[in-house]
Amino acid sequence: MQRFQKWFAGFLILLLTGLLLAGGLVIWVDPFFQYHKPLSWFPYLVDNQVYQNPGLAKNMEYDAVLLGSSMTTSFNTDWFEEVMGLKTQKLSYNGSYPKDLANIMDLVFDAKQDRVKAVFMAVDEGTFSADTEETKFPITGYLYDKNPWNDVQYLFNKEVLLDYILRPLADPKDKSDWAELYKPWWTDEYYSKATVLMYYTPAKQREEPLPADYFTQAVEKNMTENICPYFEAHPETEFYIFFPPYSILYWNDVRNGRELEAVLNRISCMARRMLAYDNVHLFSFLAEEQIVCNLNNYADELHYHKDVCRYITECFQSGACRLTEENLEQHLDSLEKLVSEYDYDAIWDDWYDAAPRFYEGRG
Amino acid sequence: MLFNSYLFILLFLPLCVCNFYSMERDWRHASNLPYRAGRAKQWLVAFSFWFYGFFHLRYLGIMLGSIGFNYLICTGILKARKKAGANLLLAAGVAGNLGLLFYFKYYDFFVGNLNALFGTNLALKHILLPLGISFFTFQQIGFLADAWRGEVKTVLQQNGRPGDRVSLLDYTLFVSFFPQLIAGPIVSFEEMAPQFFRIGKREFSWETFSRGVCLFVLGLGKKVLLADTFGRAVDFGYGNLSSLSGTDAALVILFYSLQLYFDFSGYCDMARGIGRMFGMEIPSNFDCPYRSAGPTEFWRRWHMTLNRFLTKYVYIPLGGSRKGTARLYGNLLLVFLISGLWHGAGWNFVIWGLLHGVACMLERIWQRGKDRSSEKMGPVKRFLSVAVTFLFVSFAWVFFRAPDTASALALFGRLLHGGFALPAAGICEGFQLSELWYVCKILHLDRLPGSFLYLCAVFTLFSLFLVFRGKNAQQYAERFTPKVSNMAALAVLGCWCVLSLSGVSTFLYFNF
Repeated sequence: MQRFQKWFAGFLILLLTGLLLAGGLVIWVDPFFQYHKPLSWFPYLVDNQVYQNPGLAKNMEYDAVLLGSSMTTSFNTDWFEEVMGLKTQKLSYNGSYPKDLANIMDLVFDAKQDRVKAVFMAVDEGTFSADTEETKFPITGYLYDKNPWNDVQYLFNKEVLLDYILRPLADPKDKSDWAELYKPWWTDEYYSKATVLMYYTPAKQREEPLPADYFTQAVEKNMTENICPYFEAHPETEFYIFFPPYSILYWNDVRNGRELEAVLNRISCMARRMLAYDNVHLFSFLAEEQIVCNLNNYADELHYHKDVCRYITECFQSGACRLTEENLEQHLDSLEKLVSEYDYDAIWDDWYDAAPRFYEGRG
Repeated sequence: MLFNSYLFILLFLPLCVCNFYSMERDWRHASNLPYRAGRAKQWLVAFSFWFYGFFHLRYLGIMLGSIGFNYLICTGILKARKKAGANLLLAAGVAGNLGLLFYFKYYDFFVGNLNALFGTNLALKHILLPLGISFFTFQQIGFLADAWRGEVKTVLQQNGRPGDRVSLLDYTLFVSFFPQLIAGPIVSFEEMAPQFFRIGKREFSWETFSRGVCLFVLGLGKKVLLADTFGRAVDFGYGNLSSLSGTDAALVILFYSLQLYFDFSGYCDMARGIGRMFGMEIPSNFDCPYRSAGPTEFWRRWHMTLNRFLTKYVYIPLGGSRKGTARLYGNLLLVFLISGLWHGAGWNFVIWGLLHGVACMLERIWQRGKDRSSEKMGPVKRFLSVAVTFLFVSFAWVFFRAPDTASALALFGRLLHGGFALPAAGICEGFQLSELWYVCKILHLDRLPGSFLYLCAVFTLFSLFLVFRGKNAQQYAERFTPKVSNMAALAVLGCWCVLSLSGVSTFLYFNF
């Protein structure tokens, strides 16, 4: 054998061995859960919703899923088992658009077929006037499709190996808690009126009010294409859907933007579409004054404390704050009244409000 | 398809190479050379079509149209009995090629300027530019000129073929041969055709093949590990021009010089390496260009085949330096203006080309009557010349990289008025590679002040060493002796590159 022939043979064997080892390790540990359930002993780091949610949807064992934006990341999924008796998997996408919800529902129902007992879902009314194909982040196709060939991007991927297999082994204290996936980094001290006001900049005043039907067409389209088809296709699944409680500062921005009427119409449109289905249980916390008017419940104008999440979970069981066709108008009226009549100027009178958090210590 | 893709490395290339040789050496048709050679060439052409059509099927149609048109013209030129007929055909061929290039590459630029100049409102077409169109168009213009000059005929006759026709298969392979198709080098018929003619008659050489593999892996490393890493910092810089400090602006300018060199030369190294895997020699395109002691030398070492093309088909026909000083300078400026426009349709490319033209002109003026050989410079003078040339080239690259002239000027503005500051986090972030996290952790470097700068500094110094002092990848691949150590090192580098082709994007989740 020539010297160069040997050299090339050695090179090829080493190269292929290296690639096979790398790919084999990825398949064995499977940090994005594409091929199997998590290994019991491995300290998985779950911090990338776009890359890891598809595998979690495909290969975890669950009865129910929790979907939505960052409005769902503070939930502890053990509560759902405790309160509702449902083993629940969190599959949040921060800032998610309706298309993100549709994408993950496709994966969930594709993997579990008719074995999904419940879907808990936060709907951010502000995102429902987006384009029906818009996603918050680009979708990594090879993790979402069924083509095995493009998995090469997952199998031979330096960052998967180093950041999601070797680094967790080297630094296992970063391992994720399965019940609290994607939980925000804010500790309790951040949930205070002073912090919220420090980082809050009110929206600019608009001169002309937004037309009342400004969002209606886009909302209808999103409901028709991205949300309602799942209610229809899965009558066996109960959908617990909720409008999350944004703080009063969010409504201050809506008011400054002179879009209250349009926003109320958007909510109304969404609610009416969902209430048409028997398997939908719709909840709204938008006008819950004890939550939204107490900024100590928040880390910024939108994100509320896990104590509030606990309350929401309990409402799914108790039926409190549930919307029906009968009380929808009344609910929208109270929301309008709250937003229109609230004394916003008084918010800045006292930055260090000592009011206790809602449901403090229950979460 | 790109060389630096999984599909190319793991499927396309191995399949193409293995089957090419099995067809070339098909023992069942050992005595039928034309059959074996024909099959092997057809295989290469089919794979070249797959390679190009993978980007967009429409691109393949455009290339096939261009090949068909030029093949007809060249056949006409080769068969023309009268010079006038050949002249006419050459003019038609050049016009057709330039017309194609104009339509796809320059139409919007031209119309946009007309609109700006005359206040008209002509519609832009926003045509998607087919990849590599500048390369294969120039290559074919060169070929037609060579056919007109009789050089193609000579090549054909020297290789025992009739001088009045090129086979369509050979011509198609010459234009579409995938290693040089989308990023050059710009090859000539004279250097490629004899190699195609030898297909089927050659002995397979493990040495040539292994040296090709080595050059491919080194090129891949330059592209994936170095160029793309600098590219992240450069993208950040050009995406955040208004917030850059003077230090950031200087780093962005330096990093783009490094990115472009590693990117383009890495791609050309890969092309040459693949060529060698097929037993063919593709001309060199880079020869340590940043070690040049002047702009003229720089252009003898940077994108050498484009420079060769422009010299042969534009500069010399215009009279070169033989028709007086004024004409020489005019020719120089024209050649660099064409070079600028060849690189891109925009005023920033025109400025970039003219900057180089003026620099070459000034160098000629400066050196008039002096000994021109930079080799005879003393070490201090050479060091200063190299440094000044590198600075000039780097500043000129700003016009090359910036999306428009205003952005280029904005970067220079930040350089002058941005003040001194530690590099921005966005600049350094691209260098925090996952594999180096462990090194920093083990050495506890992450606990030291300013630790985010270390990797950026290490990368930059290492790259500057490679550029100015290190061994050229081509020289290394040509001269290495096979040892276990370099075999293992190259296999590790190959693995590292393949594993770096894909990543995991992290997203900031603070948004609602």
